[in-house]
Amino acid sequence: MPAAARTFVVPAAIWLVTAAFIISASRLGPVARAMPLLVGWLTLLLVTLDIVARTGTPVGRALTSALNPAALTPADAQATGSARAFRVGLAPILALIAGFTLIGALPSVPVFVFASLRWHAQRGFLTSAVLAVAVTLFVYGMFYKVLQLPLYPGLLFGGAWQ
Amino acid sequence: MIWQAWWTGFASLVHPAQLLLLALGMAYGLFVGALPGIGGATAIALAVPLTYGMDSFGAIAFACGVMGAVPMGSSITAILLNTPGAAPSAATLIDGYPLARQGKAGLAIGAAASSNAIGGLIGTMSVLVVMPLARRIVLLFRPPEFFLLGMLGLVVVALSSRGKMLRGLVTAGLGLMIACIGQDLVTGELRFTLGSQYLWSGVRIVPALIGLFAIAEMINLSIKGGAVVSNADARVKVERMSAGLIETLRHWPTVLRGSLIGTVVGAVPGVGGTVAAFLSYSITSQVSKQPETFGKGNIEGVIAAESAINASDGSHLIPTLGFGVPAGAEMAVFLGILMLHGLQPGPAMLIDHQAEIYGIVWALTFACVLASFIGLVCVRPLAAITTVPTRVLVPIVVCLALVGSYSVDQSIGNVIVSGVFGVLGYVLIRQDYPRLTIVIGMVLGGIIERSYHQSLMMSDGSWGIFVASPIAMTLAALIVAALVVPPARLAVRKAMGA
Repeated sequence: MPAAARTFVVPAAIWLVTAAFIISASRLGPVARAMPLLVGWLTLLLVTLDIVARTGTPVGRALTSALNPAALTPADAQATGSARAFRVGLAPILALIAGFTLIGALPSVPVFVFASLRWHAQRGFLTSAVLAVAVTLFVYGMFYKVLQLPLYPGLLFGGAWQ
Repeated sequence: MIWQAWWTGFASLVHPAQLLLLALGMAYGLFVGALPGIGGATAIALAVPLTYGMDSFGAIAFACGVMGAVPMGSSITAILLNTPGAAPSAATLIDGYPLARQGKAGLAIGAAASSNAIGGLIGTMSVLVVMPLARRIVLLFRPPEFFLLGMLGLVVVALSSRGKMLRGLVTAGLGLMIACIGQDLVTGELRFTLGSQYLWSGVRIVPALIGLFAIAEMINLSIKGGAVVSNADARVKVERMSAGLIETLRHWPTVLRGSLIGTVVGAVPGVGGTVAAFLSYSITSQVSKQPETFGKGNIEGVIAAESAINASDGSHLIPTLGFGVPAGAEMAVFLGILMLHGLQPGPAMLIDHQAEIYGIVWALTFACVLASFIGLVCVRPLAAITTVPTRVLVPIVVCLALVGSYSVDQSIGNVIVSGVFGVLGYVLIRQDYPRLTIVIGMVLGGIIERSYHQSLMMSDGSWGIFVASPIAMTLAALIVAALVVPPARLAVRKAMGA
């Protein structure tokens, strides 16, 4: 995707979400939909202005100059959706959330910490293992023992889905 | 009555358990404040789970300890390593770092600590003076005024996102949309729950904040990678800190001016410590007899910035506690902690929980003063923290954040919400959308909707009620002015320039 087009991805996504929100709100009862519709239409108007402001047309430039003087550069937008950003920043955290949900906190925390330190941070095997155990012991000690809060057992081990 | 509340608030804090929690909060705040990129809001969001087992006074003491100590931790690394832990300390490093390079790091840190403490003291004392007045004002407010006040808070916060007003308003709208999720306040009808029972009571604010701040920052740091500063930079000599204390007392007009600027600026929602610090720095350099020395290691530059930062942190409490309008991201998270412990900032809290309000003021006062002195003792270890590689830090913080998010009410839905908001927060950071407005929208959404329905019920559906009283008219005029004046001013400037 060209760099200039990337600047439109996020506002376009917000526009679509807002449109879906308005459609969904219009199916509600008259009282329940009053505020969502007001907010939805206002947000749609604002995000439309944001999209126009990014076009580089005379109207867009005027809008940027009046309302968004610190405009985003195409280079910034390019970094947002890069494969590296997803692999390094997002994928491990999504994997941790999936692990947390499926197998629970106590098994997924040490696995995540060890894997992150060993392969992403390039730490040695022993350092990674010691830190993984230390973090797990801290989580267990602080949350389960001191604060007496249960740790999620995971869907596969009887955890509730709510 | 008020004196009794002052005393009850003070007495509730001067208790071994509360003082221990305050000290622990300060230790944690100094540690996390020294880590660049984390900032006050993330620091306090990560601390939320630790408050679960505490009573409301304990949670207040711990959270205020964190808030009071973060600026000091941040200033130490700004002066020693040219790397501010949080954005406001960027004003400190302009003269603080040159002083450190000249071998006067101790002088700069001593001055920063003492001006920080005095600024914090003045800022929190202003709350003690203003709160009784705020209570009287708030009693004049009816639903239409609260609706307009909520809208004004959102607009002001969006405007304060310098140069990003339109994007700020878009994310404010997103925040209000998110606040609409769950059961309708009037009819009980389910809205936008996607068939999930978890969403019946709406998006929980604390897991969302953990995602927007802690997880999003960690994703960002993880992608950036590397250590914050090199080991070599962290070994700067620190001597003569007591001389810094003397310099602060010698430049008392600068301390007073910075504290007053911080107090006034901090009371405006959205205009945080960064604006206060730079404004104070800029005015001090302009009135100085030697303006050319600023930026090259003038101790007055450090004093001006630091006194304003902590004073603004104190006065942030005025809109947050008085009207339920968070003054900034840090206050939005703090508000989440208060709500978690059964306290709803705003008129009800001003009337029913005065002891807790003054407990907060006292705790923040103690924290601002004590953290400065503890910070002086811990200068070297705090500087060393910044050498921890971010890729070692990130997995540990993420695990603690997610476990904490689950613990809010033992729901796996919270973990998923934190993940979703983490990704959303990261996208907002990268696309330069302000995150604060989304939080303010989520926090104020309930108040705005409730007041909106109550107002229309009072007026039999007539919108005229929103301009029916002098207060409502003033608030409506302020909203219009806030939206119209900045673009108009820009246009006039351009026309005059052309």
